[in-house]
Amino acid sequence: MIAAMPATQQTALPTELVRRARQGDRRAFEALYRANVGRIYALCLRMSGERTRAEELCQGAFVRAWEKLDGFRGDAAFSTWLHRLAVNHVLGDRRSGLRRLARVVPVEDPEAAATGRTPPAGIGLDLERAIATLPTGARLTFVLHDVEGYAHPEIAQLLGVTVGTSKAQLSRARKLLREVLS
Amino acid sequence: MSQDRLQSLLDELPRELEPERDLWPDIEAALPLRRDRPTRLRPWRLAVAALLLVAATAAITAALVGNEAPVPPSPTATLVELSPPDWQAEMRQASDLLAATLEQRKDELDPATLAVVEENLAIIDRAIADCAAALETDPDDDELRRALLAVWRKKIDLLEQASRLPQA
Repeated sequence: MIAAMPATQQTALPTELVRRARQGDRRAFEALYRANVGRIYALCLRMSGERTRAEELCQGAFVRAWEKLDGFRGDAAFSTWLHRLAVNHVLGDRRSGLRRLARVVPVEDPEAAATGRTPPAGIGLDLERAIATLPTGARLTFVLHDVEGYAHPEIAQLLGVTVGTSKAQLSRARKLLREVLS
Repeated sequence: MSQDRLQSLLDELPRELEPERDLWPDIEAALPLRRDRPTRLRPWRLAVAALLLVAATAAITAALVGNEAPVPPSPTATLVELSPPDWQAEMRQASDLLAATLEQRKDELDPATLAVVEENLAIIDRAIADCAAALETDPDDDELRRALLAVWRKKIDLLEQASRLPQA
């Protein structure tokens, strides 16, 4: 159940909402959350492979965004800045708690995880489930490269691996997915 | 399954997924207050302020030893294209070397001048600690990296000057 937002919050430009949020306006930040949660939650879900963990990561990313709003200089769109922050948050969480993510727990019910914007029936659903079952390194690389469009050098830097390792992980992920989906 | 088929599945993947429950109430409950943030100086900004203070006191040091006052590092100084741990390690190594030289010469130097130098070094060290801590929180903040680099350079400059001080 999503709380109703005042019309002024729904229609305000992101830059105006950011300005107000910086001044402590939580309703403005809520509007930013409503506009971006789908994208950020999808990222967290696919990177973590676990719905409950994805919710925690998504919440953490928005709290972190609130804390770091002063660092948003407007060089890029707010959604781009937030997305990058969320990627760093998920990877930072992984680095500080590898033991948690070592347990590769597939999404229990991807359809339930996608309530509101249910993916296209059939194939899309299967791919979500297949991504969630990938080993952590392969999953992170696949999501960052094939879903989010990051390049290998950037992925290598984010994950603290070599470019060669990133390419190998992507190849492994694609191979596993093709096998699972066949 | 072919790679082309996998790619077509990827193309159909939804860009957004809504969480099963509304996460906003928990997020809002976790948001810290921001009422004092617009006017509060972040720790690394305090570090930069300290750097300006150091620039002033370093000028005093220079005057004491008859040298030209050092030029404060530009805030837009070329950003080292290394990750912070790499260049910080290099800065620390150079700093340790110069500090060891200064330590060996302490007994030869004028106590008043040495006191000014040590006071400046203490300010710089606090600035470095503040900047480094802030950088751990915001590793992608280029402005912060420049500030930290500038403070390290200031420390190296001061140590170099101090190690060349004439005997008292």
